[in-house]
Amino acid sequence: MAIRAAPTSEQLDLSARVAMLFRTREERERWLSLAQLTPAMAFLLVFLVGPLAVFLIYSFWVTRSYQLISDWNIENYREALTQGVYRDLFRNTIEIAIVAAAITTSLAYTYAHLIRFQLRRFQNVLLFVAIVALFSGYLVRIYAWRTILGDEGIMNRALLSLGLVDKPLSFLLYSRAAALIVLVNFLVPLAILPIYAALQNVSDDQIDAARDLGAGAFQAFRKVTLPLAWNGVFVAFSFTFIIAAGDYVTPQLVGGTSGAMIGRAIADKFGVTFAWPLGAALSFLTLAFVLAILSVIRFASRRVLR
Amino acid sequence: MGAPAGGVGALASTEAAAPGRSSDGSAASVDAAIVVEGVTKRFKQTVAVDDCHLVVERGAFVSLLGPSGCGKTTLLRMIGGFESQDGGRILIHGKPVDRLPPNRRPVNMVFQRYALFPHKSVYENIAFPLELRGVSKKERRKRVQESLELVRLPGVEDRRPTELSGGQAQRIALARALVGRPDVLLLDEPLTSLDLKLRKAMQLELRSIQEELGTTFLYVTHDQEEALTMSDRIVLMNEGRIVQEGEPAEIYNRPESVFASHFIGETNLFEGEVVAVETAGTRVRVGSLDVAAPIGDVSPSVTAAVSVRPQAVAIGPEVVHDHENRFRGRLERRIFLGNLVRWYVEIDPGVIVTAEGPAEDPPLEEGTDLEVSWRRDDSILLPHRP
Repeated sequence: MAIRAAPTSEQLDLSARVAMLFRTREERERWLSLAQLTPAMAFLLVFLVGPLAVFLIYSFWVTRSYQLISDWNIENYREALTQGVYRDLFRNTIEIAIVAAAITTSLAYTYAHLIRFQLRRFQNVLLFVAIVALFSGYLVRIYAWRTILGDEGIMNRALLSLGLVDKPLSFLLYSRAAALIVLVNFLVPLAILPIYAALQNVSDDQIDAARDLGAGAFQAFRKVTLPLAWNGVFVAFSFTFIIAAGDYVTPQLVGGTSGAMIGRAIADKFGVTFAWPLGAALSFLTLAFVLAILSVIRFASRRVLR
Repeated sequence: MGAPAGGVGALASTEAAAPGRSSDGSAASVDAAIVVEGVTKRFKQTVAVDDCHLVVERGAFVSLLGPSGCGKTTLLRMIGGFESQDGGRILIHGKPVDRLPPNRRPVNMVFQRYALFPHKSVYENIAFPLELRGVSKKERRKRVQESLELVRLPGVEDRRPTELSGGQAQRIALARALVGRPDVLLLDEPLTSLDLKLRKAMQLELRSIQEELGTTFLYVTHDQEEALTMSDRIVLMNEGRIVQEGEPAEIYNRPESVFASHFIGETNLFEGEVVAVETAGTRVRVGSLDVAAPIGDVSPSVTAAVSVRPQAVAIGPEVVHDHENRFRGRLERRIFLGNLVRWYVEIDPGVIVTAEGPAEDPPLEEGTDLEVSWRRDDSILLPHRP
């Protein structure tokens, strides 16, 4: 073993002294990467974790004559879970969000898969087309859909002039289907990007190897392509599921009663009735449901996709 | 119509040719591991593989050798089923495979960049083809074990591919390709990404694994030394065509074209005009010099090339009398290669002869006048452009 003579302090500049604080290179690198994370962590701590913690506390409080009182109890949660109106809203929310996320992820996967494997020559153009859809405002698009699906909208006009119906179909707008259409339309571009990025990491050689070793086209997809791209697919699903579950503009503008979701009720609790503790409890329950569902999917997919 | 005919028209009848019933072809091709008949592949305007004919005998180690872009990988991928040919047909162990997807061909492939599955352990990677075939768990375990022993890397079953070195990853890729006992193993420049020392060791090991199994290996490489080291036969390709085929020594000693003499090994190449065809040999005029070469398939006044290997060239101050080719020149450069020395001698303005041999004592000084010589039979006469 070689033993180096310890340098005297005059010989060391500042960086070398800092380096001396950590015994090994690994230790130093670990600290360095932690240091690099600090700004983002600080931001999240102050602007996300902090407010969330405050609302978590509120959810166990009550309001009396428009005053928040720290009277610790779980009444808000009990009310949120037992009252029929909230139960229906939760069920609606979860159903719509899961269906919207599933449709979105499937469509986005198909698109990303096509541009990665079949239409490789046009991939830049097609990727740009997908992103361009994000340039238009969210509200603008909702109103665009209203003009398509409404009583006086393009769809009904067309159906009327073709003589297929004798009065406008009002269920096209203000329905669960309308809410799903609008959500999917909004979410697909967001879902394409992570899936496409993940598919970029699947090499042609790996797929060829799977085929070569005896896998049919579907087996190669199922056992190699999809597992390798799964992280991206899961990110896309989580992303769209969370956004859909928290949305309260779409349900209000196109959802009707069958498309009503919990977000609207929560917004009312905070903005209209000043029932902050109940609103906070509803929010945390939504969060809990969302995380529970994503965990189940994550866990199940780990066992299935091997 | 009627009875299935050979050649190009036979493409349509390939599905009809049932196993055990060889539709046509010579006795050699029925028994061969791979038969490639007039296979052509076009990519838009360019012809990647141009009317290739090839027979690979069972149990042989055959290399497809050529510069990059010569079509060797495309030909290999067509045999593996990853590209479809535009013409001709391919038989493996006597059965036409043209309509079969890669998963139904009795061949496996080792890829240049290993192509291991990063989401599976080493064990799961090697067991993958067995699992697809429904081999029992117990049998799988046994065969994976055997494969790992074959590639001399036992005990790494639980590792992830990312935890392996390049050499280890390539061994695992080899084990995975061999575990299903293919009739033919295709290897697409599998050693390219390894460093020189490891590559040399792996060349010998690949060869001994091949001998141990008796499996037919078809090996694509652009490295002539690698092909010479490992192969029973070398198939030399250039610009989409097979230009020469033979045993390594044959290819090296008797190149049939300027390309072949140039691509395989170092050589001196002189181009000139055939001035005399005599009973003893041919004389070719190169600049102001006359070079003696053996009798060849040339007639007077055509252009031809003469190739001489550097180790056939003698160098020294005094004349070697039984050498038909003797030229005086000036030593331009002397390069010490360790085990050998290489000399560059200018024998005519712009005409440099390279000689190679054991170090001379005392060393010749650059700039000295001396003589280079070689036997007429060491000249290889090549028609200029085939």
